[in-house]
Amino acid sequence: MKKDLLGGTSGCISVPIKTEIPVSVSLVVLTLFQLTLLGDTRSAVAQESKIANLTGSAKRGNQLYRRYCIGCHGPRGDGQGENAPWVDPKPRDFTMGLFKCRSTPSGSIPLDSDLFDTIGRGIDTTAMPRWNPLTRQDRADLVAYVKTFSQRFQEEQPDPPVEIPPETPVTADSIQRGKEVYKSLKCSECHGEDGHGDGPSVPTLRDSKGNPIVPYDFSSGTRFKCGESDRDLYRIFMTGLDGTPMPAYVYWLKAEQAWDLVHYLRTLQAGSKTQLGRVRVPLHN
Amino acid sequence: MNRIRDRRNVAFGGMLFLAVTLWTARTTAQEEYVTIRVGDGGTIEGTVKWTGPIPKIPELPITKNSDVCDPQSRKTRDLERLLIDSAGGVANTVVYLKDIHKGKAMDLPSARQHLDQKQCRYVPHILLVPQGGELQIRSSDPILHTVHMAGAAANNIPFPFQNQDIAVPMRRNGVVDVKCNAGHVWMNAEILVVKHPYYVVSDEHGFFRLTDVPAGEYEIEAWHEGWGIVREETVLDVGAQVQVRRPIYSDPKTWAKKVTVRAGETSRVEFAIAAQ
Repeated sequence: MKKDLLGGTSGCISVPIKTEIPVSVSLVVLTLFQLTLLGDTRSAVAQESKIANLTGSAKRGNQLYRRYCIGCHGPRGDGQGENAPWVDPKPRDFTMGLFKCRSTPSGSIPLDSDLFDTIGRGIDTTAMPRWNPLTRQDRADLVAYVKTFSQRFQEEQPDPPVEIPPETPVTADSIQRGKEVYKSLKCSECHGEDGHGDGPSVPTLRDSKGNPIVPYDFSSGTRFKCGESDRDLYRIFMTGLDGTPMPAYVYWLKAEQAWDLVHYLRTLQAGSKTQLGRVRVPLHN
Repeated sequence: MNRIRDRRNVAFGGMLFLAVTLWTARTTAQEEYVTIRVGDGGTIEGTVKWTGPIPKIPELPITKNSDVCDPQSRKTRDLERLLIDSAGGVANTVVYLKDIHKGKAMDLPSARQHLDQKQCRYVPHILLVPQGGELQIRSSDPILHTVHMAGAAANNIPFPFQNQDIAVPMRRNGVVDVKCNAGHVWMNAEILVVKHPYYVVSDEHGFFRLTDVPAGEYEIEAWHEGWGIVREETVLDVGAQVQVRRPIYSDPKTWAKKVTVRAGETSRVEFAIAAQ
């Protein structure tokens, strides 16, 4: 068998015809062998997701998608589901391969775990609910299926995630430095002087589909779209939210400055549950 | 019976094998550019000229940071989407060879791989970056700009600081549209991420020249970004009481020709481009 294959690959197709092994079998095996050699593993990989010890399957994900996601994201994954006209912000168009919530730098595709986290966490202030009632396996399967909508997942590899070193202590000095960072990075252009989302650039802001989009209003006290912890906040401004005007500040910030900014931004959420519930010592103390 | 089935199977298997072989051949045909020593190459030069009536290209009002964006108080800004000189020469047209798989090493001009944001304009307006190479970006302005890419790249990079360079690796081949989200809706540029060095941007007179081309027959193409505004996203800025209009441009256009290149000789190619 192996001999036939080797003979076949060297271009001598007539050889197998004289053998006892059914020709069709040889040719099909040969074809499969060709495909393997060609690195068609790419599309096979794109049909899967890897989240820690879980492997998601697009085939199973397809079934789940048809049950839970299709109404908004649509059969083609382009965000044109039957509910889409009544949903604002609009459902994500997966065919663009652009995702807000990523641990990877701006311009990179997300990690499978980023998509997994988004499905489980939902997107606050939007119609996207928390899908954590689904099992982890189900969510992993959905990730695998969602990735099939964009060629990017077949053609590109994600960049390494932006590192998040341990948080520095929250001090008055850190908050003050964070305020300076907010000013020097010109965050107020969109988010406003006091973080109310009312900066001078606001009227011109559009998402990647041309729809009007508003910057986050810190005083609203709501969770962020991509999480609620300090680490999430750090990640959001470092990686940017692709598909929106929010750019990636990782180019300009050292880790300590980024933590200072986190500490300052938290003060803009004064009155929010997040702020009040922010207990720095373990609860049992 | 078995024999018939066998024959069918042979036919099926054979077709499958052939299909995969052809597919492989096609994939490889689109493949990588190989650098060779071009000892005695030829030159292609010519001009890109406009024919027919010149379309009226609107300018946009400068609605933000006019101290930085508009030091001459012109109030409006040309979008630079179509620049035609008095003799009809069309600037900013990219002329390139199609389907060239071997030739000189990458030597795209460094100026086309450096993007500056100056007085709220992108300089240059058209960039050429080798695939796998880096685009250097800086801002000469003391205000916030953001370089938001769409297309073959999707990076979104803020420039809150003046005169500091950021290098962005350009991995995918193709066209990248650039816009600024910091309120400067007129700012626009195009980046072409290319696989080989036979690309040139026509100068202000529409002139272009490609050098060290291995002798042979080629298809040569002129590419021009879309200059029409198909629609505008309009909104009233309540605070400033101004209409803010972000233009959405028409698709790029291309014009193709054949050219024969002979060793040590110069071949002329003239492109006549028009609205249709």
